[in-house]
Amino acid sequence: MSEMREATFLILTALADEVRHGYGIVQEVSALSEGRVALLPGTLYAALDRLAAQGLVERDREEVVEGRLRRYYRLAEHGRTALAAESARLRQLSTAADARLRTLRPRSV
Amino acid sequence: MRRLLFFYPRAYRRDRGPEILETLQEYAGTSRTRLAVNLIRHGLRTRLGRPASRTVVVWAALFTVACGLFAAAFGSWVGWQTIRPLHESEAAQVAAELLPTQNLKVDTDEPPAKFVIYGQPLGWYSVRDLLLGDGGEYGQSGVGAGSNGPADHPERDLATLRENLRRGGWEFREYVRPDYGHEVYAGRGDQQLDITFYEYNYGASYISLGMDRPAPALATVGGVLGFLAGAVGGFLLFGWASRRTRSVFVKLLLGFGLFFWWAPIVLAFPQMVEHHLSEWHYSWHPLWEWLGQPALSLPFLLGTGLLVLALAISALARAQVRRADDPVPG
Repeated sequence: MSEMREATFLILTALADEVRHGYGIVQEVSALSEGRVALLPGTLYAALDRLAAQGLVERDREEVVEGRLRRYYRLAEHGRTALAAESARLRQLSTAADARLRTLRPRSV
Repeated sequence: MRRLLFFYPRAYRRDRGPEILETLQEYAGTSRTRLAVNLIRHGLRTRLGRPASRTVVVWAALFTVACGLFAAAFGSWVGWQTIRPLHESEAAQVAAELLPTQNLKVDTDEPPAKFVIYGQPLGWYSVRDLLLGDGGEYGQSGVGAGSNGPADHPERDLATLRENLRRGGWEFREYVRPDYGHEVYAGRGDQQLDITFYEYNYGASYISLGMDRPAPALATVGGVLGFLAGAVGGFLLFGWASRRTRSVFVKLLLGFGLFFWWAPIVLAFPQMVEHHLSEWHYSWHPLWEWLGQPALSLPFLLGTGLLVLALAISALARAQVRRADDPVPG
């Protein structure tokens, strides 16, 4: 599988522990990235459509809250596998980078 | 904000519209412009059948605007055909009105058509000139008159001309031409003039008067209608082709086709702006000249050929898919 975009990684991570509706995903992605990634609605639904087409996320249920439609999404089995693989890849890279940085750290006199 | 959803296709709006609107309600602190731009961009990408593409909207815009501009040029050309035909007698009449003592003589032939290239109406014999570098010679035909001999008192003639222009209700501007003399541009109703006092080294001065028509109102109407029809048609055509094929070859054809369409515009437009800003014009030059046409008609034709080929391949691509989907006989 090709390298995952950051927004995709964050959306899948946001759905890893519980089902969420559109704005719930936006809030969780913002929290996970410490406010760095702010998904706008057009971007969010384009990403959800793409991820659904790839079998990474699924529609869970719909609710009508104060007369407004709220649709919830969950991580699909394939999405769980892909997220785990990407997480492992990033962890391996991060571990390698940390190891290199430790060897380069200047020794105290 | 609900209106912005119209950039999405209808089927998508039906499925996603209420959900997107529900989510939008939560974006209280976000700039409405930012939200609008985001929805328009993604709506157009979806409508063009490429929701993940970062460039499809730019390509669509380039194609749409180019189609609009070329259709506007054609529409304005149709509008230009409504100008009154020019006759030699009209030039003689104006010359007598403005420079009565000079006895200017009509020195042009009766125009064979409203627009000509090298004095001749367009025909198959013009193709070579149009395509191979002389397309800029295509323009409105004019009539003119000139003095038979040197003017005795050019300064006095110029003063008379100014006085008669003012009296006759003409709008005019004067320019000193260091290379050859003095030039006066004038316009009144559907007549526009270019009157030149040529000054020669030995002190002689000759007068020439050229007349043609300013842009008629219907040229603007034709241009606006043409732009709207061309832009809408171009956008629909682009979307149709975009949804049919993902072929890299088609993308290449589109890229080169648009290059050949836009290059003349990019070259001609700044020159025309500079020209119009540098001196007064009673009427603007025809729209097609702003697009570098027909001076650079060869690149335009080449671009058209490539784009038509891209559309044809897109059409065939769908047909091939359909054939593959047909049930196996027997």
